[in-house]
Amino acid sequence: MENNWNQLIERYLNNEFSAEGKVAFENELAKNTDLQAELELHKLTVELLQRHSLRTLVKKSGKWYRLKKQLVVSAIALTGIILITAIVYLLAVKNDTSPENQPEQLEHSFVQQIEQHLVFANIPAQYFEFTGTSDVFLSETGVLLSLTEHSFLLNGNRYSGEAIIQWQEAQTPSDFAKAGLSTKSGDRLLETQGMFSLTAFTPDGKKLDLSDEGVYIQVPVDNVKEGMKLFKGVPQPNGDVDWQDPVELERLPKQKNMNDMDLYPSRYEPKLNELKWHTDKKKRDSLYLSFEGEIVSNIENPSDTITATANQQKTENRIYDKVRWAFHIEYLKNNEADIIATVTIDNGWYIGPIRQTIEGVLLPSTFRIIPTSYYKVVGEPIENNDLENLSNETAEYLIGIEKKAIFKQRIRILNTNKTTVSGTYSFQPFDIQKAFPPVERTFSITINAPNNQLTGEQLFKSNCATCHSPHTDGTAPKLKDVRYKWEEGGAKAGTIYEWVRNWEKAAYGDPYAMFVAKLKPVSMNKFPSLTNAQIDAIFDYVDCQQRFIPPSKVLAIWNSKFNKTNLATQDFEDRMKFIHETCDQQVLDVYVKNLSEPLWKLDEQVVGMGYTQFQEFATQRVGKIKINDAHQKNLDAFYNTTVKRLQNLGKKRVEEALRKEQKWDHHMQKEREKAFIRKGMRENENLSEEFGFNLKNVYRQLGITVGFRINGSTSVNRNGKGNGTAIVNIDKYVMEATIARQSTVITDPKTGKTAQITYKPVSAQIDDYKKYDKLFLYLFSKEMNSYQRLDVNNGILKYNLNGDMNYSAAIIGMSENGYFYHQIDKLSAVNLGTIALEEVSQQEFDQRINALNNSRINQPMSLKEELQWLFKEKANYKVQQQRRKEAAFRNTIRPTVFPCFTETKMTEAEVVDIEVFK
Amino acid sequence: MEIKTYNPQDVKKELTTLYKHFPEIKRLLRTFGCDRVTAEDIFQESLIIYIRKKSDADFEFQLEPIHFIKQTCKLLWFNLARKEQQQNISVSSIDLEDTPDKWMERELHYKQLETALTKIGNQCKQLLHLFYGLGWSMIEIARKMDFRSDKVAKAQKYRCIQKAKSLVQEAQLTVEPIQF
Repeated sequence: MENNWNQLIERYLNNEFSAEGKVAFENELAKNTDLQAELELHKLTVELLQRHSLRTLVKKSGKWYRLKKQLVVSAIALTGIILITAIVYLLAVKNDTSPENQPEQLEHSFVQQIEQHLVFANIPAQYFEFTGTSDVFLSETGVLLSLTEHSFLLNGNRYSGEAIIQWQEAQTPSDFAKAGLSTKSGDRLLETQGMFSLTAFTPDGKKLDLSDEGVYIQVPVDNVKEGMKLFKGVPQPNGDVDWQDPVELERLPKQKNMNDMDLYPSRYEPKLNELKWHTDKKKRDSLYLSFEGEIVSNIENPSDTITATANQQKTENRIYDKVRWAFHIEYLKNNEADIIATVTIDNGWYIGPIRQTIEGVLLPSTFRIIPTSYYKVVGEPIENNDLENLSNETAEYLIGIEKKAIFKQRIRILNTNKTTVSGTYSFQPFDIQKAFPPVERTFSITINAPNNQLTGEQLFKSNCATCHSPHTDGTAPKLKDVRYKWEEGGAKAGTIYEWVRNWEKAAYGDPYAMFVAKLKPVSMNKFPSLTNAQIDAIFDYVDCQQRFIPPSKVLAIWNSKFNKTNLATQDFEDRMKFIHETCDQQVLDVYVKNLSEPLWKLDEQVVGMGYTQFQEFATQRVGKIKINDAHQKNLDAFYNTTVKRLQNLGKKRVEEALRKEQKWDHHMQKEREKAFIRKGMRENENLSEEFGFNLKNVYRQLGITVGFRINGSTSVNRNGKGNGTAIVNIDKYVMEATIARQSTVITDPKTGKTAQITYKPVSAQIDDYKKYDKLFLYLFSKEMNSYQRLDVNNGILKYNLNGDMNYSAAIIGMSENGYFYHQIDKLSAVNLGTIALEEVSQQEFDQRINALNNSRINQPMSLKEELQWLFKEKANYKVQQQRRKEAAFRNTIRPTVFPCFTETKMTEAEVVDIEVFK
Repeated sequence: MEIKTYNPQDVKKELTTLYKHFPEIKRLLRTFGCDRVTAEDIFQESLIIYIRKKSDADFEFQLEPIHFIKQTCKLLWFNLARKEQQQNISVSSIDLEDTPDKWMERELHYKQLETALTKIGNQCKQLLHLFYGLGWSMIEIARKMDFRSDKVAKAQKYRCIQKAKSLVQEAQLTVEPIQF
């Protein structure tokens, strides 16, 4: 009701009513006081809203106003590298009695008074009025002065009122001559870019001192000279000025609001824009973070859901309980360990081995550990189990393991931390009669670092880390993939181990080692006690070190809490692009962990780490945004907790997505198992029904009353063969004919009557069968309750139909694109030629096949579960397609987030890690 | 509904120009003992009043805009100071030739009511600002604010205006008209 009123009122106010409508509304308005009140309220509200909007605009222009003030500073800062050569600080304070002058008007007498304080003689002074709030002034020669409310002191206390600024500049030799200025520092002659003097007075003529914060001055220069410094001018008794206390020059970083910063890797956003992905920053952050989640997450403990599904399977499906897997770990020498799977198999049940010598009927079992950066998988899984040859006439080449199987997989532990090993295993249970569909499951177990053994991480850190790092050349070359490089370079196998123990000796024995020895002037330490295995452990550890800037660290500083620090500056944003290119999080750490240092010092530190591209930044001499210590401590704490929180978040998200996928896959697997079992049961039922039908048929033809008990005295001839002497049951002949689906003639020698079971082939070819992922024939007999599902292989349908039965059939094809259907209401044993399926909706398919099933017989076997399964399969196509798309998308974006991933030789761990997410 | 007589673009331009006078006005207000933050608030309020007054067809400006704003600022500060019992400012020292008229009184009342609108959610605020303030079409709003269609945006707008109305109604009951 109210909404209706709103609509009507708005239309009325906007004059959108027709003439009649308006009259009607006004009539209603005249008598309805509620509506009148509502109309008034509406008008008022709209007016208030407009007023409020206006406020938004006003506030915005206020922001603009302040921003522009800042921009003036920055714009000038940008015009070039700006240096200050000299500033004269006036330290002397004189307390003159001040005349009662108005501050705004610099009256002549006042000017005269303060002109007495001129520092540079014969150079005209410029005056600026400082209102007491932060402001910027530009002198005639383009020197920029920035003053804040904390710039001045009066008698040692902060002065925060208006002030008159007296400014003198001497930039040309003629100025120097006029003012009689020297360019000497002690006895040394200086080359000067200019001399400046700034004096401030209160409106009543008192001289002000500079506070610690002081004033900021930018001087434009044509070219930068290295080693320029700022000197303080001290007037000497003889009237000269001596320039003292040189200070390094700095440029203030250009502040920027964190919300306007862009800290993503440079190619990340352009790529997303190209793909027309969401522009929402939150979504982009989340995606960015998820790439870290991929790496950090070891798919640890997916066990929660797995055990849950495993439990469900227990009650629903006992077949897979016949085979039980258990895992434990055995620690070995050299940081190695075996993950051992012990499989207990119930009597009469078998599973396949991992490696099969001949391709058997049974699928091989699998046992695979997913590598992470914490450990490395060494070699293939080992099995040493007794194989039973179960081959017989029905099952050829059937080789299986019974009772107990053991599989081992060796790993090498790289880190000292406790971690979780996870992996997958799969098997296909078999019970002589029948093989069941294979299942794949996941497991995980916790491993500790082996005692008394040094891991690669420890060895690296204690022996090598002082000079070597995995990714950057420092004192010593980077170590990542060093074994691979030596091999490529043509070093003899094993030289590298010799090198580590005694590089000199190795250099004499191998030309490549000699070449390496000459690369660096510094000689390497010798480590005679390291064994080959220990050296391998070190290299394994190094090779597994991934090199990337963790998104969590970037997002943690990309926060308004870091406004007004070095990080919220245009200068840092420029550096961030380069930091991303280095892929070295230590570079990022340098900037983040030293907020109180000027940027140029940090730039130099990074150059020292081997990243010479930062030299250019270092020469810009960008200073720092001042922050006090308490503030910095807070930020540090905030940064650390945020990084952790984000890391966990990223990890959690990725794991959640993985769990969801696993859950779906398990669900699908279960559905398939159920469908498989249903098919078996249906075939059984079908066989017995058809057998019953055939038997009845034969009895009728032979003239035997149904229900007559067949005993040994009744013997019949089959297909005219048989000599009448063999005592055979009719049952057996009928059964054999039914199983083989072959026509059979049965003659009763006593009566001479013949009975016939006929099977005739129906055949068809499905048009364009490759289009379908699944192709089935559903066969509905009018004489049987159950229906049959036949696989149509390679698009060729061939089946023997019972000549005494009436059939209808539906051919169904399924693919990602939908359901395809063809219905045959009366199926007879002929060659149907080529059949083309037509696409139908799920609903139509459901309706038609159910109608077909229900029309054939009174109480047909229900299709419900079967169809549910098919629909699930269809849904699965979509899920899989979505996953492929997602993986492709991530594969496109990943190189933009981690530019170094593609450049380095991928270790095994990395390759698999990425595959896991496909 | 009041048909807007101002164009947002023009208003923005004019505001930018007027804002340049802020230091001047701030100095003025500070001579009356007003602090910096309040000075900006008062200045902004007077800008709002000025723009609204300007778009009122019945009114013709006798003064330069900046003088009008100065007067308004004085008035607002005086009003505020009195309310806060900062009676140390002598009333007579302020030039009161431009005593508040009905129009100004209503503006002040509106100012009070307007504060109620800050309670409305951010989404509603943005939507209503775009529609009533800047005069965007529903289609543009739907695109900007990620609504599925302009229909959805429209429905949301009715919900928002309803909310705004109830806030205003509530405020009307609690806010007393200003007395000079």
